[in-house]
Amino acid sequence: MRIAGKINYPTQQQKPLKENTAAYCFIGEIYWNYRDDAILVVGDECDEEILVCNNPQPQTFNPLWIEKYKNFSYFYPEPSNPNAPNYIVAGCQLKRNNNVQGITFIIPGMYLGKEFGQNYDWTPSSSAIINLCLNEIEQRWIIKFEELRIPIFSSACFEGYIDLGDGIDTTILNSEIQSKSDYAILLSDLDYWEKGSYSQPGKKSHKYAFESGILKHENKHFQIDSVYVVNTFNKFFLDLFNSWILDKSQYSCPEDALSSKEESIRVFTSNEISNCFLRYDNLKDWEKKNEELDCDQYVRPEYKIIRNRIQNWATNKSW
Amino acid sequence: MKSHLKFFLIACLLILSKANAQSLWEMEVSTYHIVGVRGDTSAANLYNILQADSLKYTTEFNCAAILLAIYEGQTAKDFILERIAFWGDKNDQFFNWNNYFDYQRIKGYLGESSAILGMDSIVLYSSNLSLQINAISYLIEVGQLNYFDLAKGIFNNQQDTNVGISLLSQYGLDPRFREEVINHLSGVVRDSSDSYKVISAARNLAELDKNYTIELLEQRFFESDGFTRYNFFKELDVLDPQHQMERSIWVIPLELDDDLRSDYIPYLFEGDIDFSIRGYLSPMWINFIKNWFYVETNDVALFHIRSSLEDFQPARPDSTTPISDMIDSLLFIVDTVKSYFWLGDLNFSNELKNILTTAKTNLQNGDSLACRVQVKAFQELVDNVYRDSLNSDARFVTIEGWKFLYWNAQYILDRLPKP
Repeated sequence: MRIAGKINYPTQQQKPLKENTAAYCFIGEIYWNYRDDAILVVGDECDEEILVCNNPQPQTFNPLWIEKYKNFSYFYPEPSNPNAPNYIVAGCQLKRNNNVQGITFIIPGMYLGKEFGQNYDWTPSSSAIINLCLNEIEQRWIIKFEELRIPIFSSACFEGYIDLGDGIDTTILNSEIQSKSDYAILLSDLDYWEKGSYSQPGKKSHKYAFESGILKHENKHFQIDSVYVVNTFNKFFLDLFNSWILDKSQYSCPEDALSSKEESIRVFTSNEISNCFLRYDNLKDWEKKNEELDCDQYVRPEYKIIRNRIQNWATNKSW
Repeated sequence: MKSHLKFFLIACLLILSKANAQSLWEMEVSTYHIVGVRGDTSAANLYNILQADSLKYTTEFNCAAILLAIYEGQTAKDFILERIAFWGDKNDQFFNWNNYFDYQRIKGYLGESSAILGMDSIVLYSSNLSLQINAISYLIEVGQLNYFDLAKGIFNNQQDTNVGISLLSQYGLDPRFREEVINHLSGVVRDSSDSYKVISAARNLAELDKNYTIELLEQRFFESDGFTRYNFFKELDVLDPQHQMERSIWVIPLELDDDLRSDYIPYLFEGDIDFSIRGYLSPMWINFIKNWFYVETNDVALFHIRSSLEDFQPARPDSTTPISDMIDSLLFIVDTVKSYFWLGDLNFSNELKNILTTAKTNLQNGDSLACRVQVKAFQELVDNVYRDSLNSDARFVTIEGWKFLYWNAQYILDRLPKP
């Protein structure tokens, strides 16, 4: 028996392995897995390796599982495989009307090159990597998500405006603002974006928009969505931990427990993703308006910076 | 008689069914739904999705149910409710409160009054605060205002979001809760150290009492500094644009940050009709920036002042403003312009005012043609004196005086019939 790596016993329940009764049953080598919450035990009577929970506590959602996509960015179904194909995310094409200049939504699934209209080839719930580890004290299997990728599309989707970006590219400014009249319109448009479209119903920007401002507004939605995802799945993981009791006496091997419960776990996961996906849609109009106003407020310093950049640029103009 | 009775009963049933069809709340097609059904919103696809058991627990299913309810309404009602009934079944192995909420949402939209009880049970039994708040919102829409204490609790406890503020403000729309809600929200506007919360509360308070909100927010503007003050200024721009010019005049000498100070000086350009700029197209503002030009050091601010002085054109009064009021206003402008020394010689200003007084008398007598002759004479006199201002004559008009007098006369002429 060889134990590699430094051993930590972070919980009061977890005994050192050599004192752990269950460990005596194992044949073969035990070594620390790459995960910090389980010990991989190789060579037992089961087809699948048995992982002993290092920390038999409810799992928490890993924020790194949230992935952000802009329009035309690439999606990698197999991030760990550099030779696997990647796919372009084109969320803006689903934009419903011209007034919307940015969109943020949780991507419920992906087509991977197949005909549009069929079921998704990739979904967060179907691609989630689910494992079980053994709580040796309670002799029960604990459900652990190794990976649960939640892709969120958050992008500017311009239509009908001249994009001045973040106001830093003087080449664009020189070509798009060529008179005092243009400059006056620009400042009026900046004022519109700075106050936010939701506080000025009926008004529109005349000519210009600013991608960095739109992105920052969408980024606030992204943050709100992300927090919601984290909270939703933390609660889901807590429910899994507390309610899904998979006794080892009933399922002697992890594959037995997993084959019995995996489909249900994925259905529940899918349900939670639907819940996150419809978070904004479920809000009443006044709640949506409040969220939009919050996002507009959040983006105001960005427009302030853009304004200062462009105003400084304009002072050198001869028109 | 029997056939009449039958007809009457059918008519009653139709009326009843129509009454049942009245939506409790609205649902609208959104990008989310379109994304959810992968872009294919055809009725055939929506029916297909709802019929597929393999999709029962997917986003597609939820979105298809919502879209079909919106597009097909009563026609598809029975089918939809039958297919999503498991969302409402607490014994279903995959029961969750979110689907239960969607079930009530769609039922209510399709006119099922039992959805109210459903939303109520979410508030009472779900442990998901977001969902409870959503359910309360839907209940508010149908006049069910039973959770005011809960809303107050959320308002008092929410540290990270403004959801409590907006929820409470919905209760404030009802006269029974109005005063208490105004007290809560005004407390935030007046006292909160978090400027985001101040603004959020102000926006909601403005729905209940706009003038009081402006008063409180203006006080915060006067008491703050830096970007926070600028943030309040921008909010006041939304709530009370007509008084921004006075706020600019107050804040500019106090603001030490060059960038912020230049942002309080708008760029005025001829033909600018942006309402928030209108207040700046006044003699008072032009006089202020003319004087401030000699104090200001920031290039952007100086550029805006210089350009504004060159290019500004007085704002055209609203088309509903009575012509007699426009003449009164021009009489006042003559005095103002004189007080700023943009017009010289008392006799000259009296001469101008006499012409306008005659024009007003003509107008009151119903002689708009004679009125027009007088206003035109006023305009020509101003124009001639402006062009002759270099002469040794005591009479003069500066370019600023000329702009205000000439253009305001022109705006009156534009409203008077031509001979």
